Amino acid sequence: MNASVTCLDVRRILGAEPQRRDAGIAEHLNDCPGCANFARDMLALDTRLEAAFKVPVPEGLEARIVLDGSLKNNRRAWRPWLAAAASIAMVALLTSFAWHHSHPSDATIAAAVVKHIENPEEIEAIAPDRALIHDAAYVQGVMQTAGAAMQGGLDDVTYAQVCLFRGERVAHLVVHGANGPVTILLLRHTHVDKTVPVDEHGFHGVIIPAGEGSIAIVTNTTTPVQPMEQELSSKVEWTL
Amino acid sequence: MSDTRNKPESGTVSASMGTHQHRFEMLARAQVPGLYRYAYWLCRDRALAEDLVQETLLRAWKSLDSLREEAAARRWLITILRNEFMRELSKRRNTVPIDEMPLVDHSANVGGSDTDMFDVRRALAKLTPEYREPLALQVLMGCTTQEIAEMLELTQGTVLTRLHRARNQLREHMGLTGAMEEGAA
Repeated sequence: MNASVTCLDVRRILGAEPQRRDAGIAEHLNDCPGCANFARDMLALDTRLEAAFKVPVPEGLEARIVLDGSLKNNRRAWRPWLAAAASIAMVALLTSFAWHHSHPSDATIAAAVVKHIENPEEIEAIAPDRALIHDAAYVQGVMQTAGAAMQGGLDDVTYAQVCLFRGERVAHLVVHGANGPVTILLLRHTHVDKTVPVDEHGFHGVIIPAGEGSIAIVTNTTTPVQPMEQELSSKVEWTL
Repeated sequence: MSDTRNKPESGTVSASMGTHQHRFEMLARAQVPGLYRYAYWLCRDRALAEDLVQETLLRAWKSLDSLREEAAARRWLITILRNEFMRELSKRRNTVPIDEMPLVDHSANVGGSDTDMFDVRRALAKLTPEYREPLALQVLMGCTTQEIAEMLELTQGTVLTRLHRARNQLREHMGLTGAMEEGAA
């Protein structure tokens, strides 16, 4: 065994840099089965870490950024008349888009709500065995980031996350209902004129009007959502 | 005869913009996935991570000419992104009580239903930022300890200690047996 490099040295070094194989370390690993096992464990750990660090990247993010960069930074190269014409067209387009975006059809928004809940990135949120979140300040923080607040807070929350929904930040909450998880989306930027029923892919519930925004209350269990409608519509306020 | 001496060379400008655009596209396509993941583990908020990456690339576009070597792009972008994150933290500290900042995803639910992956992500989420960030830079972004030390303005010795402790804590969180020095002669 290499006397100049001890087992303690090897473990300290490989604990910080599992890939490192200096001559002294390589020699020690050849002679010391315990440290060789440790080195294998550390490499295996790093393989798992690398996979875990690689969270899913939002679809089309690179393309959006390239387009955004081009639009925001190429303006100086445009001819003035072209820029003016493009501006007018863009205003018309954005006005139209903004109207349709904030006033989507009932079916569109119901489908989008279910699609968001069913998204592979989100489906874990309605796993029946999720633990309660006891940190009320965290849940409030999530709502605040999404431009919402709830008087008196919300009980039995098992999931709280700020999500992008139709390009806007929303609070995605899941509470432990009588017969299973119920998803609540606080949709600050999505207006509905009247209560919209949701009944798709085994999910049922409602999207209720709440001032300029709306609240989706949806479940795929037998938990009734109606009792939550009144409570939530009176408790939710928009803050932004 | 028309005098063309003072007319802007539109072809050259276009070519230059085209090159700039092409270079930016190459940069974005190569670096955005890694940057987004790094940003997520920095702030643990998907929407904010997306904003940070967008802002980072916009800033990068503006000073792309100052980037001489493509090989240095990753480190350059990480530095811009960290600065953006610090700026965002500072803004939020002025408006939101720090204990209400939604920068902690209790669920560690960021995609995938694999149980092992979920457990590892939950263990990563439990690490304090001072341990998680150098680990992300090393494992995810492929930075050397020297590069990490320079980016985080730490000594290389401190980085090595943090990386070692980070893995030690992770093993404990993941229920892997024993501390790392256990069994060492």
